[in-house]
Amino acid sequence: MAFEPRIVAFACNWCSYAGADLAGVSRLQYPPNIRTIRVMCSGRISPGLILKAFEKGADGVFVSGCHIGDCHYSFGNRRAEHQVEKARKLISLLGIEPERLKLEWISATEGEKFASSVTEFVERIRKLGRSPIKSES
Amino acid sequence: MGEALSSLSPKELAQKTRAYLCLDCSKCTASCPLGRLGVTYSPRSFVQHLLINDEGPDEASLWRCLTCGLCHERCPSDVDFPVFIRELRSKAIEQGKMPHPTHSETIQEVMRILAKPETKPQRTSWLSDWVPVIDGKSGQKVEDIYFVGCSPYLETIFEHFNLSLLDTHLSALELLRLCGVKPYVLRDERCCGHDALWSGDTELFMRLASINVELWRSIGARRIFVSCPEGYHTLSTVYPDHFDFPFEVINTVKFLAERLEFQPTKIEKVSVTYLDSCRMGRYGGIYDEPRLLLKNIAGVDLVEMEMNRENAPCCGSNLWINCDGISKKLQNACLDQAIQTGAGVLVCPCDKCRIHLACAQLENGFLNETIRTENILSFLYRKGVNNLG
Ligand code: SF4
Ligand code: SF4
Ligand code: FES
Repeated sequence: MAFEPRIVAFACNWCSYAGADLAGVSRLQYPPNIRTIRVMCSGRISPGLILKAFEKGADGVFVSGCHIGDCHYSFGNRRAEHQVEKARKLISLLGIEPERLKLEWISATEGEKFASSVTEFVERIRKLGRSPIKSES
Repeated sequence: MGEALSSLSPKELAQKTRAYLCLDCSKCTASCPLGRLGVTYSPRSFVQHLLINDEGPDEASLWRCLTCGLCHERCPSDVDFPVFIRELRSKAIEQGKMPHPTHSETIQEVMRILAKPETKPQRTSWLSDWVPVIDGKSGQKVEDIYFVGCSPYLETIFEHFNLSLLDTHLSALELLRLCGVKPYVLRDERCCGHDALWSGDTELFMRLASINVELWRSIGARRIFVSCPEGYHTLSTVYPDHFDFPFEVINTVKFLAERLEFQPTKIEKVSVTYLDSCRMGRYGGIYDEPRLLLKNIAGVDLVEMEMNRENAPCCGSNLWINCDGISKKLQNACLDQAIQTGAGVLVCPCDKCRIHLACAQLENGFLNETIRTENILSFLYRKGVNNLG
């Protein structure tokens, strides 16, 4: 069977999750490979959560939050930047390609950006193939 | 520990850990660092309640123990409370209970990913060029291995503490080279599983351990050098209970103490104190060797903390679970003792202790920074060999 990437997307409630919603109601097409998890702020994301997604079988992890300056809790997205960078270093040490983790700022009005970023990311992961920590079956 | 003890009932477990020989003297309760800080914690009554009631352990107490080993050290009947609690935890985990992980479970997740046979870690890029690296599946045979453990991951997670955790291993390898030993570093090595074992995740521990043992077997390893006290304890005393284990596990500090001679280029006076981390001291019985090494460096003045050797204070946190205000109190108490010696450097064999202490220092806005911590191996190399000031 052809490889279908499994992707976990963490989306901030106030912006990217609403962005995803807008993409939906605007009937924009994006691949069904993502499982979206809503968080109250991208600052909630920690390396532990990202690693857990990979451990449980994700081929890629997509983190999205409000644009810098727009976080509803002031600096949550700044924190997210640090945490994602830490997670990127950790997955590299664990032999998972750093490109399998992506951080993107998407506002509530950017339904189109949500759809296109996700589409692009799914394609990237499709090229990379199955996560190296998963067995063939 | 022998066979998996967790299949035993509390009564059998009490037998195995000699809890039935308890004299009710309450030394354990009086010794426990938790009790000293006002938390009611009594190993003696914990075991007693468990044996009398059928309710099972109360969860808070089950995860609260630091496994520091002080109660076991002082018990006149040699009751091994840390192992008792470890095995109860194992049972609890089997029943789906969980301790509270710290750092958003990041370290537990690293262990879980490493426990997958498919994982191919890439964590050797920081090594000096001369250090030989070997792939477990290469078919190459080598005798000496240097076990790095989890430092590359911890260095990433705690990079903001600026503790240079990898320096420990770079220094250890340089010092071993001075003694004529050039061990290989194994690329696909796993974490030793110490933290999984002691927090009760025996299954995770066994998965990590069996991958390691298999790798050492396939390359024909004979000697394994370990610098991390937890790693040393786990490899030298726990692994042999579970596997056919034809390897000699060598503690780097102990090894160096018998061989290393320092020839410093310039002598500079420095006053240091030494922390007997529990896995090095109470669990490993290594007290004299680090002191011997430190005293051999010209200019180094070793001053002892009020509580030292068998009685050394706890770094306040263990296994990346249950860190809270009590942990901070313990960390500050440990730092205070070190500061009171007047030493500028707290030399420590365990980098995890250094992480926990740095965390308290950071929380205090580095008010405690009248003292800084340094791993014993980095210190030996920096002061004893290179004298880099
Ligand atoms: S120190 Fe040993 S003998 Fe004394 S109360 Fe505690 S377990 Fe019992
Ligand atoms: S191992 Fe340490 S923390 Fe646990 S009960 Fe004994 S003295 Fe207290
Ligand atoms: S509220 Fe959206 S990133 Fe903080």
